[in-house]
Amino acid sequence: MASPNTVALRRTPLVAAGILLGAGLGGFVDGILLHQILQWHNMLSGQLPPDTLVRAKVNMYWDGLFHAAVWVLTAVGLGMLWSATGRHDVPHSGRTLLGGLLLGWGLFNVVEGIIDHEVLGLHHVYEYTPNHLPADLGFLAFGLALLLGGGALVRAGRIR
Amino acid sequence: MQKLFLSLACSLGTGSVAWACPWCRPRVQAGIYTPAYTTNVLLVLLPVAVLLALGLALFYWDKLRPYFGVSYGKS
Repeated sequence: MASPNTVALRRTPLVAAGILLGAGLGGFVDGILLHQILQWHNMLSGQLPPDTLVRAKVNMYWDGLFHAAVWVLTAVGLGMLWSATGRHDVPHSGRTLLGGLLLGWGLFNVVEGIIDHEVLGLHHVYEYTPNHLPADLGFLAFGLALLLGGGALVRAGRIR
Repeated sequence: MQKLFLSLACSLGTGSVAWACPWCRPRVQAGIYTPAYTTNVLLVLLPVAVLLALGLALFYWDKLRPYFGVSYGKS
């Protein structure tokens, strides 16, 4: 049996935990900042504009479902992190974890941006303008920047 | 003074704000539970499901790799 000194180190469990935690926290940034504080959009505001109290409350329901889902994402990521930190073949690297977190947030922006904003049209980043594209593209560009930064940090945390 | 507070509390309790929810709740529920409810649930959860699947696949990649026939040679 391999001893802790000779076992091959793997970073993928730590990166995966970081990705799910980052995606969950990125989802909360979207929900708290863009849905609630700035009120730029709601989950179904592209199909059901929140222009009456009833429609705003219907959108609030779908926002709640979205928040519940990203809570599950965060909780699963936390469970993975706990599992990864208990393994002797997973290195304890802050850079790798931070890189994973940024990768997760970036993935959230890109996946949600492409599926919800561009393909399904459930909502756009900023609803209160006739031209939705600039804000949608800005959201995707921020996601790509996070992916690049996260990838660089994960590479910097590589075992040499 | 007590009468003033009492009448103020009563007017708040019976005002339009307090009645807003009992009045609109059935309409809100009708707006949520439409025939498209299941579709909406699936659409709202789709991006999160994709991300969850990606994360789980990466976490269990070492166990999943043989099923996909991926090999990186001897390590």
